[in-house]
Amino acid sequence: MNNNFKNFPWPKTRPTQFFVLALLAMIVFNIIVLQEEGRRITTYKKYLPHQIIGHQFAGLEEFTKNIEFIGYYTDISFEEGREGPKLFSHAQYSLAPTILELNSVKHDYILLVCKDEKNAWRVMQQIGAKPLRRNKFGYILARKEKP
Amino acid sequence: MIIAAYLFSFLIGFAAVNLTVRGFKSLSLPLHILLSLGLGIGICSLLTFFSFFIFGQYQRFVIIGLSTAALVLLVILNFRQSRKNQTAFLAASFSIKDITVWKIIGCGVWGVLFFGIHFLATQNPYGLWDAWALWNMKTKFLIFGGQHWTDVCQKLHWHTHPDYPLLMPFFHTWVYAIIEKQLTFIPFVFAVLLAMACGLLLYAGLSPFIHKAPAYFASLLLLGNPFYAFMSTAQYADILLAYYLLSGIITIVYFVREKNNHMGLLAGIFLGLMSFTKNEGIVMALLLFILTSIYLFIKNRTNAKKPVLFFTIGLLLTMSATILFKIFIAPANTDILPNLTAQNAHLINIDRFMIIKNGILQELFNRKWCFIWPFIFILIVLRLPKFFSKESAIFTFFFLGFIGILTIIYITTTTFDLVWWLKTSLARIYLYLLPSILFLCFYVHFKKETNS
Repeated sequence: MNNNFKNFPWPKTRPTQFFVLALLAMIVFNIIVLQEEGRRITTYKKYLPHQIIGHQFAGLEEFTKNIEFIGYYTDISFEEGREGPKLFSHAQYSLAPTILELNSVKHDYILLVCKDEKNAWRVMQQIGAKPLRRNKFGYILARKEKP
Repeated sequence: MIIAAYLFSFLIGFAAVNLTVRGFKSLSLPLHILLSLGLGIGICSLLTFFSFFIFGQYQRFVIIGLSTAALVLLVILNFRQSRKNQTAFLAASFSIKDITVWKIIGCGVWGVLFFGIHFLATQNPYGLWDAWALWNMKTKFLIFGGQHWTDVCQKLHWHTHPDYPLLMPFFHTWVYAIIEKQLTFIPFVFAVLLAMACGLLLYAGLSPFIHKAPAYFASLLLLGNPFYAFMSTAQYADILLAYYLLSGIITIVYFVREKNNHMGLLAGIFLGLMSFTKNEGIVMALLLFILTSIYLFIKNRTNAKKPVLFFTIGLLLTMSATILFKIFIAPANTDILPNLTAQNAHLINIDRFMIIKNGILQELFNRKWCFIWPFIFILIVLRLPKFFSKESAIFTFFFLGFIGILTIIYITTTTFDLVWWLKTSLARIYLYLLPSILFLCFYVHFKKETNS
């Protein structure tokens, strides 16, 4: 094994020395920021463990298995804030490969994700659907009754 | 089990690289290994795609059978060619005497950085929003969707980008076919592995052309950047795109510098894989292909046909998947193409141009990048003319051309709010360009000239 330190290519000219110093400064700066970031993450993770994507809809996939489409009804506006799109994406991820059709109640199964649960019950009454499953977040998977 | 899957994919890639670059002595073992990793991922993904295309749905044993057949075939071809040409079985060379104390220390530092990258990745085991809501969700469709797997392109909500190519989800599907469990763990391992491998590829790609010390520092600069570590482990396809772009550029340098047609074939293969990774990959692959071909025709007017033919064959080999996907499965792009082709497209829109310019500058100087972009800017300014000399010119014109195309797309696309779009997309663009731009800067500053 060759351990001759004299072979190491120490920079010889001034510009090269300056360049290597700048490069090393960048690398040291990166490592300091990385360390700070690590410390910050470790601190907040003590209080907030990582998010499980789609946990609000866990268990519903058992009911939607083998169904290609279900409707998704929500009273949360997609224009204001990220809550609406976030919940929709979580539900889609969680229930894939079933496709959620946004704000459509034409399918046999409808997932109702409402801030005000009364809205969900009102819609179910209008379309003649009955709740199949309601979870602790108040989200309801409903099925239309056959005429 | 997941290690066994990656080893299987790697062996396919290794045999394919070995077969392609046979007789090319300058390829180092680290570079051979890292190119094999990328090519293995690409081949397994394409085999999975073709199995879906032919059999109409996820068929575990078809995928495993095809991959095993590919590996066996590649090994047989390697043996046959080795016997026929009376050359060593391995194209790459390695000697135990090459190991020095400095190399052991260097590997130790890489090991520490790997733990840093892994730690950051564990904070988002599902990846960031677009990773789980787009890429990983599409993987679920491919595996569990049966014959409805094409729904990812036709019936899903528009925010999932139904026209995006699917190399990464098909590779995750391939890994799932091998291990049949840990669906959320597969993209996590993929992201950590590629984030690290991209830095190592930067070193392995630079070290044949420049002194090893600056090549090593370049890799430290990339791997030690906290925002690179964060974004590359977000489970987006951008890190894969970065990997293929860098692989493509390294093999093109070999191709044009050493005039090795087999490296041209490999370069074409990597460009084709890039086109199946993301839509931007199609633009980048075609742009690099055109610029390299023009360079070859300018440099060797009479002898350029054969190298360009090799390059084209390589490109078509892997781009065939993108062509099939775009013609038969993917819907037309509704966000960008109609605006570009519209007769009343407003290409000269000063307001939008100013917003784009400000967005680009803000991202360049954003503290989250730890000032790596101003550093790169200084490197460029210090040797600006060299960036336009010889083969470096291909890549300089490529980056300028790509930035130009992106600017036109940003100006003409009115489907999204421009400020929001810049905010969400620029960091990813910078991510997949960063390893290749670092490669170019270090290559221009430190390259050893060949006699030829």
